[in-house]
Amino acid sequence: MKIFSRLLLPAFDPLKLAVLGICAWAALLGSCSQTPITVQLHAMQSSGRVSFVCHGADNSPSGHKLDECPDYELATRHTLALVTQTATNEVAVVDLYAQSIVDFDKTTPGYSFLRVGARPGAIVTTPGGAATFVAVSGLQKDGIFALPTTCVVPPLAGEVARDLTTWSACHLSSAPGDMSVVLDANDAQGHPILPGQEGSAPRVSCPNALPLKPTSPKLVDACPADLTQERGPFGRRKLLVALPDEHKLVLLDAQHLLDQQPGEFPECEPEATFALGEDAPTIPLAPVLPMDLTPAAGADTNTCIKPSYPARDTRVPPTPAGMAAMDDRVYVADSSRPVVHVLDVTDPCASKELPPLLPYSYSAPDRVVTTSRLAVSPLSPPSKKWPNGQQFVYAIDQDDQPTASVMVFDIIRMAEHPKDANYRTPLVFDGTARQPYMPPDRLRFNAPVRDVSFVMRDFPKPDPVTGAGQFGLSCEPDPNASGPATGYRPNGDFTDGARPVNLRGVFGFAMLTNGQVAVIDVEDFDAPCRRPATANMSTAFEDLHGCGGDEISTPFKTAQGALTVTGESSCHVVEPHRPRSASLSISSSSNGLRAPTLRSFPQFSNVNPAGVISVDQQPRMLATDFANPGNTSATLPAEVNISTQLYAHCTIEQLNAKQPPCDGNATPLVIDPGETGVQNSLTLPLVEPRSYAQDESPTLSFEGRVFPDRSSGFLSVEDGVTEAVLRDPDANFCAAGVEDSDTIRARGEGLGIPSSNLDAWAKEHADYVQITGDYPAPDDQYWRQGRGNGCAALIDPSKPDVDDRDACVRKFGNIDTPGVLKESRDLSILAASGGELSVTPRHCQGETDCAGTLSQLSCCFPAGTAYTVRASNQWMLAGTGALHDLAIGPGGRCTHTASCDRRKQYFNSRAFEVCDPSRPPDTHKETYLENGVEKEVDVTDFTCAATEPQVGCVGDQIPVTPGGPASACIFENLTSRFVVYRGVKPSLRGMTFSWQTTGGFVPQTMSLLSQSSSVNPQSLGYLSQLGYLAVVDASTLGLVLFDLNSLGVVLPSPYF
Amino acid sequence: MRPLSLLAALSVLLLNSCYSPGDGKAPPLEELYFPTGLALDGLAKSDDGKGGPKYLYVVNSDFDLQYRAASVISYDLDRLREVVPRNCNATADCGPGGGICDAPGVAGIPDDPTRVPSYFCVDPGTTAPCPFGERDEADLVLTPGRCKSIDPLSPLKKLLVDSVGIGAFATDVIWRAKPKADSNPKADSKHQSRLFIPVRGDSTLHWIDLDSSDGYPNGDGHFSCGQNGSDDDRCNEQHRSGDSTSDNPDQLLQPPEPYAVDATADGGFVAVTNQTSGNVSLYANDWSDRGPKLASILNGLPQTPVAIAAVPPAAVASGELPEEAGFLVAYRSASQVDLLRVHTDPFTGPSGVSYTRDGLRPAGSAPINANSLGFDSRGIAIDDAQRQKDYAACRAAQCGPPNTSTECVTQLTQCLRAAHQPAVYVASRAPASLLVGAMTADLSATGTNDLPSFTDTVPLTFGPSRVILGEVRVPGTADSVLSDDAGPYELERRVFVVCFDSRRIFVYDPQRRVIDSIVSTGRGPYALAIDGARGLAYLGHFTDSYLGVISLDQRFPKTYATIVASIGAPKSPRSSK
Repeated sequence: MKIFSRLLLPAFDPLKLAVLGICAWAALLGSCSQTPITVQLHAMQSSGRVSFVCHGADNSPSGHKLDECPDYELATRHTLALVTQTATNEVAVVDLYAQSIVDFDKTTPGYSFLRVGARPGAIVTTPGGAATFVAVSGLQKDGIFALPTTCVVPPLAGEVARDLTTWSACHLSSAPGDMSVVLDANDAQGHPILPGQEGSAPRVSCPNALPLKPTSPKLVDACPADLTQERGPFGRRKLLVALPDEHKLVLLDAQHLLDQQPGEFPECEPEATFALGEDAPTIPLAPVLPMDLTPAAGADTNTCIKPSYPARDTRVPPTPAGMAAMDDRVYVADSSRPVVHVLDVTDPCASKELPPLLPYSYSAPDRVVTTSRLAVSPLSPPSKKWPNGQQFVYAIDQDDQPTASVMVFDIIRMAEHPKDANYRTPLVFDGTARQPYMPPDRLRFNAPVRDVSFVMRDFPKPDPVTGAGQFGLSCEPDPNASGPATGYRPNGDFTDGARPVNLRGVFGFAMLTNGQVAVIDVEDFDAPCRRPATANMSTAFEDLHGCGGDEISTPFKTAQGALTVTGESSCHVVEPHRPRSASLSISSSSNGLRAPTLRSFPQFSNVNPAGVISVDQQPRMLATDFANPGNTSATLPAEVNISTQLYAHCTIEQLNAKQPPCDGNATPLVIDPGETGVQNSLTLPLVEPRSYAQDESPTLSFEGRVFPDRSSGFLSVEDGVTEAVLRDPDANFCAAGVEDSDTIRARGEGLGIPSSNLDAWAKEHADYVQITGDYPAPDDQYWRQGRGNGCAALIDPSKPDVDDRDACVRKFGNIDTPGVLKESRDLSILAASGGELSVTPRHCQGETDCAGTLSQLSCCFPAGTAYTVRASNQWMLAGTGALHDLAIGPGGRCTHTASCDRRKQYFNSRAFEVCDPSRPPDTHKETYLENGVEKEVDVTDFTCAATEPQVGCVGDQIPVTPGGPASACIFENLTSRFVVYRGVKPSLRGMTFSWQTTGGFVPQTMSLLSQSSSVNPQSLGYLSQLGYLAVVDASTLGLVLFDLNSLGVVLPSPYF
Repeated sequence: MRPLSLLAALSVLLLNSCYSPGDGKAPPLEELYFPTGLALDGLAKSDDGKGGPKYLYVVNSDFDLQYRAASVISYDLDRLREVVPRNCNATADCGPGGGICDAPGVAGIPDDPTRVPSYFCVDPGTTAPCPFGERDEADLVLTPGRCKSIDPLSPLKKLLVDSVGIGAFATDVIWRAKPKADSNPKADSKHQSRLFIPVRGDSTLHWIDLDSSDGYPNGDGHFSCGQNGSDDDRCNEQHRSGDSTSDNPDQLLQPPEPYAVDATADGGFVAVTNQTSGNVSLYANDWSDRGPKLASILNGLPQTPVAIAAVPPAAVASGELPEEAGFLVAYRSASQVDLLRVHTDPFTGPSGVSYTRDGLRPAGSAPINANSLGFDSRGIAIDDAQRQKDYAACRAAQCGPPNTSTECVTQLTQCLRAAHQPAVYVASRAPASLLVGAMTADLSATGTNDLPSFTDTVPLTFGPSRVILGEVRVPGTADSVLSDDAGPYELERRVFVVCFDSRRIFVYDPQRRVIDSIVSTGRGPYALAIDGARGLAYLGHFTDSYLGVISLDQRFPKTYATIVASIGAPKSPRSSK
C-alpha cells in the first residue's frame, strides 16, 4: 500500500501509471481468490545520517540555500533529504515537497539510490546547497565522495545513469569520522575579507600547504558544481574531516574534490592537519557547585571532601568523534581522551585549538569520561537575566552507566572565566537535590542517548503600536506591565501563549536509542509565565511551591481577576537543561489531574488478624502545617489536592485574610488526631514536580520491608556465640537502605533521644532480618545424612528422636501465611556492610538462649535461605519516593551520607511515631504466687515517655506543629509530608497506610514508537525552514519528520 | 478429538519424548549434518608452533530426524590450512615455494581480461585459484565462495580425525580444559580436556573426553566417551548426564529442551538453559571420570532463556572474598539479563558423610532498555580481555610478594577496582541489533556488580542469533611481534554476530564502535568459531550442512570477510529438494 501511495504522488509518470494499472489488475484478481496480504515494502535499509539540499530547476539545478526552499508558488524548488544507507553503500533521496522517495533507476525492481564507494558515514552539504559530501569507509575504500546537487535527482532522458562513476571522490589514508563544512574568508595574504569587499576573493588554497595537484578538465562534466558561485555565507568551502585512527583532523578544499575526474579515486590532498594536542589540565579540578549542593554547615570535614576531579592521563592519544560547528568555532568530541576539543576556525588553514571542554562526572569523578556526539546551541538573544545571551554545548557521555547521558557546558560562563578551568567542566545544576532521578551534572533518560540537537525558534507577536515583532522577547507576567511581552501570556483556555506545546525559545533534543526524542528546556522564552499565581518576594526562602524572589507581592492576576500566568503548581515547572513537561502542572476539572495530587485519602489496613482494632484505636497518619520562615510564630496551612478538590487546614485568621489557599475555595482539612471522624491524610510538597513519577501507589507499613525477599542468605554460625553472619554477596545491603544499630542511632540523635537512652533505643529500632524461607523438603537427604539429622536435639535435647523437620516447624513455624511469620525467625542487625549482616536473635534472653537459637536457625535453614530485612518499631515508606541516604562507608560499613552528599538531603523513608503522653501506659496482666496465693498484677509494656526505648517522639502538643514539641517526628521527603500518631494499641507488623498519587512529572517526548515498535534511531537533523526535526531510523522507519509546532509526525513521513 | 486422532497424537508425542538410540537408521558419523556447534581445542596446538588450535570439533544435530542419532566430528586444522587457499596481494605474500599471487599484473598470471583475480596464492604451473575446481556461478548465490568444497574425507588430505555418535538435536558445544593446578582429589580424569553438549533429543548433557597420545600430550583429536564401536558408535550412558535421578543427591532430572550452554573458565560448573521453560540447570563438573552431575535446577525465571554466558571472576587484592561462579542469562520473552550465582555449600554430616550442595540462585537483574522493545535476545557474550590486561598492569605496577604491606594492598585494591568493566554483548531481534554494554561499576570490593548496563545498540539486519568474540588480523608495523610471509600483523578484538535469517555475519569493532565488515554467507549460518591465530573463522551452515572458512586477515582487503573455502558439499534439506 505504501508503494501505491508513493506512485500516486504529484510527479506524474506514465511508467508509474502503467505499473499502477498492472498492480490494480493484479490486486483485483487477487481479491477474488483469497484475502490479500499487505506487505510493507522497505526501500531504505540501515539508514544512518541525513543532510538537506534545496534543489531547484527555476534558474539553476545546482542548489540553493535551504531557506530558499520550498518554492510554494512555482514549485520548482524542492527540499531533498539525503539519507545514507549503510547496508547498501548508497545515499537515498527523499523529495520532501513531492513527499516521495526518489527512485533513480525505474528499470530495475525496487528503489535504486545514489551509490557511493563504501559504507557511508558522515554527510554534509555546503551552505549554498551546491554539493553534498559523504564520508565513506571500508578496507582500502576510505574516502570522501562529492555529490553535486545537479545530479541528486534522476537522470533525464539522454543523461547517463547515476552510478559510482558519476561522482568525484578522493581516497583518505584511514577511515573518516565526522565531517564539517568550514569557510575560509581570508585573502591570499591571510587577511580576513569582509563580505562585500570589492575585488577580493577568498584564497583558493592554504598558504603553507603543498600545492594542490591541478585537475584535468573532466571528460564528461555531467554534474557541474561550482562552489565559488553558490550563495550563502561568504568564504571558500573547506571540509574539516576527522581521521580517528590517525588521531587528527584534516582540511580539504571542497571545490578541489569536486573537480576530480568522476569515477576515479585519487588520494585526497589535505591542506592542513590538526593533531588535536590541547590537553586536559594536569592538576585536579573542582566542579562549580550550586548552593544547594555545598556540604551542610557543620558537616564532618574529615569525611565530607569537596568533590574533586582528578588530573587526567594525557598519554592517551585523541580520537576525534562527533563534530558541531557554530560560527567560527568547531567542537570535536573525543572517544578516547576526556576532552572536547575546541577549534577556532576563523582562519581554517591555521585553526587554533583553544582550551578544551573537560568532561567529568560529578557522581564518579575518577571515571574517564569520553564523548561520542555533541551539539552547540545558537547564541540566544540578550535578556534582562542574560545580557550576553546564553550558549551551550551538549555532549554525550557515551559510556555513562546505566545509560549514555548528556553533559552540558556553558560557553558564556567559560568566556567570563577564561582563566578558570573549573568552569570548563560540566554544568552542575541547581535544584538537583529535589530531582532524585537525574544526576546533578547530566541529563539522563531511561535509554541511552544517541544524538543531540538544538533548536532556537520564536513566533514574534506584532507590537500593537509599531506592528513589528521582536525575536526573543520573554513573556511578561507582571499584571501591571504592558507592551509586546505581555502578549505571550497564556489565555484562559490555554490555546494560546505560554504552554507546554509552545516551543518558543532555545530547546534541546535528545534522541534515545529506544525511539524516543526528549524535549529539553534550555531557555524557554515563556518560562516567566509558567508558574503559580501566588507570589513570594523573599529571596531568602522558597515557599511551598518553590517560588521566591518575585518582584511583586500580589498574586499574578489582573484587576479583572484574570491570571497573567498559567497558575501551575510550582515555580520549577520549567527548568533549564531539564526535560520539558508534557502538560500544564494543574489539577482541575478542565485540565485533568496533572499536578501532584492525591486520588483519595490514605487507607489503613492490617494484614495481621490478631491485631484487628477499631477505627478509634488505630494509628493515624495526618498532614501537618508548614513552617513559615517569614514568621516563626505562625504556620502556613497544610494543603493538598485530592482529585480536583483542594483541601487546606486554615485557621480563622487565615480564612479572614482570604489569601490562597484559604480564600474560600478549599475544603477544610483536619489534622488533629483527636477530632472525631478525622481522615488519614498527608501533604504533597510542590517545590519540584520532577520529584514525582506520573502515578504512584506508596505504602507506609509498620516494620515494613526494606527490600523484597532474597533467596540467597547464608547464615554462618559458630557454636556458642550470640552473633552470626548472614552473607549474601550480591545483596548490596547499604544500597538497599539497611540500617544497623549504628546508623539508626544517628537517627535517634536527630530525634532528640537522650544519650543515656540511645543504646537501648538503637537496639529497639535497628533493622532486623526475617527468615522467610521454607525448610528443605521432607525427603531431602539433609534430614537423613546432613546436619539436619540433629536439629531436633538442638531444639529440645530431651526429645532428640522427634522428626527433625517437624521440630523445626514447631520452633520456627511454617510459611503458609507469609504475612504472619513467627517472631523466632527474626534476627536483629548489629552491623551492616555491603554483602554481610552481623545479626543476633531479636527475641532471645541471655547468652545461652541467644546462642542456642542461632544454632537452631542454622540447623533448620541450611544453605541459602529466603529472607528479607524489616525496619523495627517504625514505619517504612515503600514506593518510588522511598529513597535513603545510606551507602558503603570508608570501612565497608553502611553509613549515612546526606550530610556530605547534599543530593540526598531530602531522602527519607522512615517515620517514627508520635505518642500521646496523656494516654495511660500499655499494660498486660500477669499472675504470680505470693505466699501460695495467686495474685494478678499489671505489667507495663509501654509508656509514652522519653526514656521508653520504643518511643519515637513524645507528643506534648498534639497536633504536632513545625518547631513545636515532637516536630522532629514530622516525616518529610520529596513526595510526602505527614505525622504518624500512635494508636490506642501498639502498632503491629504489617499495619499499612496506602494511598495513590497522580499528576507527577511527565516529560515531553516525540516518539517513533507511534509508527513502529521496532526502531533503532541513528541521528537527528533540524530543518529550520520547515520547522521539522528529522530522525533517521536504521530499523524500519527510514526518515521520520516531526513538526515542532504540534510535536507530531509530519505525514506522509516516515519515508522508508 | 476423535479417539484415533488422539491415539495418533499421543503416539507421536511418545515417540518424540522417548529417544531411543536403538531405533531408526544409524547416522553417517563422518558427515556434516545440520551442524549446530563448533568448538576449537585450546590446548592442542598446531604443528607449526604458531599457537593456533589443532582441532575443530563439530556437533551435528540430525535436525530432520532422518537418522536415529547425531554425531560429533573432529577436524585437523593443520591439514585444513594446507588446502584452504592462502590470500595475497602480491607474490611475495605467498612466501618461498608458496606459488604466485593470482592478482592483476603478477608475472606468471595469464593476461586475460576475462580472468577474475582470486587474490589466492596459486600454483605457477596451473594458475588455478581452486585446487578442487571452481564452483558454478549459479551455486554462488546460495553458497558463496569461489572454490568447490573440500572433501574432508579425501584420502589425500584427510581432515577428519575422529567421529562419535550422540543423541539427536544437539544444540551447541563448548570445550574446556582441566585446570592444571587442580588440587581436587576427585579430578581423577586422565584426560586433559572435555566437550559438553546439550542434547534435546534425550534431554541430557553429553560430555566427551578428548584423548591424548604419544606426541600429542595435549590432545590428539580423538574422542573418549565410552563409544561402543557399533554402527552409530555412540557415547555410552555414563557420558550422558541429567537423565538419571540416581546420579545426583537431589534426584534431579534435566528438564526438556536443553538449549544454550556455557561453563566457568575452569569447567567446574556448566549451566544449561531450558528453552521451553523458565529454568536453568547447573551441572557440577569435578573433572572426575564420573563426569558432570546435575546439581541444581533454578526455576521461576522468565520463559525461554536462550542465551547464557559465564561471568568472568573479578579479582580482589586480599583474596579474602571467595569468588562465586556466575552466569548471565538472556531471554526470548523478557527484556532483561539475569545474573545467576552458584552458591556452594560444603558440609560434613554428623555421621561423617560429606557432600556439597551447589545451588544456582538469582542474584540480580538488569533491564534491556536500550532497544525499543528489548525482548527476544538470542545470544550473549562477555569480553573480559581488557580487564585482564588492566589486572596484569595493576599487579605489575603495584605490589606482590615480598611487598605485601597494607598500603600496597590498598593501592592494588584500588587499581583492581578501577579496571575496565568487562564488555557485554547481546544479540537482539527486537529490533535486530547488537546491544553493547559493560558490567556496571559499583562500590563493592570487586568494583563491579556483574550486571550489565547497555549503553549502545548497533543496528543489524534481521535474524541475529549468536554473538562470538574473536580476533582478526590487521596490518602490523615493524614493531609487531607477529608476522608471516605477508609481513607483520597484529590481532584486534572483534565481535561477530551471526544473522541466521539474513545470511550475514556482522563484524563489530568494539574499539572504534563501528561495524567493521559484513560477511555474506550461505543459507542458515549458525555456529561460528574464530581461529584468530590463523586469521580464519569456521562457520557452520545449518541449512545446507557444510562449513565455510572465512578469511579474517585485513592485510588482504580483497578477500577479507569473505568465504574462501568450504568443507563438505552443501546438501539442501530434504524438504527443499
